[in-house]
Amino acid sequence: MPSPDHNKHVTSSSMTLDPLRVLPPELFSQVADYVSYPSIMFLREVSKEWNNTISKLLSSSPECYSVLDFRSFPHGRITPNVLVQSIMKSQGRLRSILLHTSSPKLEKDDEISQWHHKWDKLFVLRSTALVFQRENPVGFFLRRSSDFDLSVPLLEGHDEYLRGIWDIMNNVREISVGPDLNELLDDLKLYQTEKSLRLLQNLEILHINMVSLVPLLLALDMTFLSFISLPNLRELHTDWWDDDVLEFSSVEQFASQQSVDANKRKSFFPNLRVLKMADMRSNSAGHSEKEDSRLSAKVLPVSFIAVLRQRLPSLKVLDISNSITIE
Amino acid sequence: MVKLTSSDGESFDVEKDVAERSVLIKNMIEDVGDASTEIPIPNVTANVLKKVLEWCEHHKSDPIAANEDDTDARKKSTDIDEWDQKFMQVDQEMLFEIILAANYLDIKALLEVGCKTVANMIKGKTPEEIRRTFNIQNDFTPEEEAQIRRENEWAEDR
Repeated sequence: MPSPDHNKHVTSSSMTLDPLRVLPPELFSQVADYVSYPSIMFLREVSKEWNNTISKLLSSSPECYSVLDFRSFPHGRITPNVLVQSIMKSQGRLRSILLHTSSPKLEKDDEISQWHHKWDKLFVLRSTALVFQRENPVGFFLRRSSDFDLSVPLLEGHDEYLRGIWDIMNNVREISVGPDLNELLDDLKLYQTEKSLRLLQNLEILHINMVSLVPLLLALDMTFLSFISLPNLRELHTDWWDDDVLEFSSVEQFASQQSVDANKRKSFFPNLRVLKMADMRSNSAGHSEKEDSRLSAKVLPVSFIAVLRQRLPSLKVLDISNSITIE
Repeated sequence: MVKLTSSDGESFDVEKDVAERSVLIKNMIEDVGDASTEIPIPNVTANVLKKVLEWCEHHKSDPIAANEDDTDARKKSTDIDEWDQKFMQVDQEMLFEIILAANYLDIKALLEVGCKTVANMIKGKTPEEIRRTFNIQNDFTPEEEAQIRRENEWAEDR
């Protein structure tokens, strides 16, 4: 319940007013709460009163550090050093990092051609959010659209900047992706072609919250997935299984053709132990084709399981809706 | 209808569901038990109350926001819908009066829009731009200013 004391009357006739003087502390604090860390640090430079207030706010409100938002970073520059320093200052309270990058503005055409490849890299990472639990990053999402132009330092430091982000990404243990899956795959494809920029090498759990072709691709042909190497992936969850995309006959045909050299193929998920898929066809509320006579995905052809076991040497649990376990 | 009286004595006849966007007024109506009783709003002047009621009228059908389950990132979003942006295109004096009135009247959504508006006037600006925006004097000595800048250097990384 607000107290009447909060309703200080604005008496100045000036058209510009210092919010710190007009608003009671709790309301100024509410305003400052929308100015995320680390941008809020720069508010200390406004005046002595702002310095005192913001300093008190930062020391008394751990939630100030919960979101590290660089999207409106006043000086428009983020380097790995800033990123790391920000994380350290948040002292384990950080839960999200929000970044935007966009194409740097070039002045000369020849520079465009010279650095075209590098710009392409930047386009991939328009927006990234890393989600932390305590001090550990536990997930992230990617977006291509950007509503803010970050002025990335021109023509220098991009690799270092990207490496700073990739270093963090390589500490990510668990990811949950929705419609951004394809962008994630694109990023992995792009960066894993470069030995120096391998991503998500410590990823252990991947949730794909959409109809996913990954299980089919695993069974059919690893070629399409060959750019992905997730050596520590232990669990793959696809929450939306649609067996329209899983054509068992194709798997059987493929398996018969490829069985000779299947054992020679490298496994790109060598430590995958758990593969879980939700079977939408077994859920009448989630599937409209009631008269569909095709097999439920719960009834897996032997050849499909066989191919999966070849491709996934560490697989212990194959769980399709009602848990089918193989071993 | 509910009759509200501003601090400077002006009366406003307002639909009950519009007035009840204010938790304070809603509680007062419940306490009095008679919606026809005149309700004094002693801390809000007529011109501000009129503006606040305009907002309440526009948002009278909005669901009451349950903001506890939002993520931190979402809570910290300063996105404001188009109508509210235009509504908040007022001079700073009125803007702050609206915020204070929203706080006093306990209209959380309006308070949020007001605070976001001020935050958007601050975000992305340099300290000097903020001083100009709000007519704030830089009262640091050069040494003090240099000291704070040094403390912020880690984030600037010039």
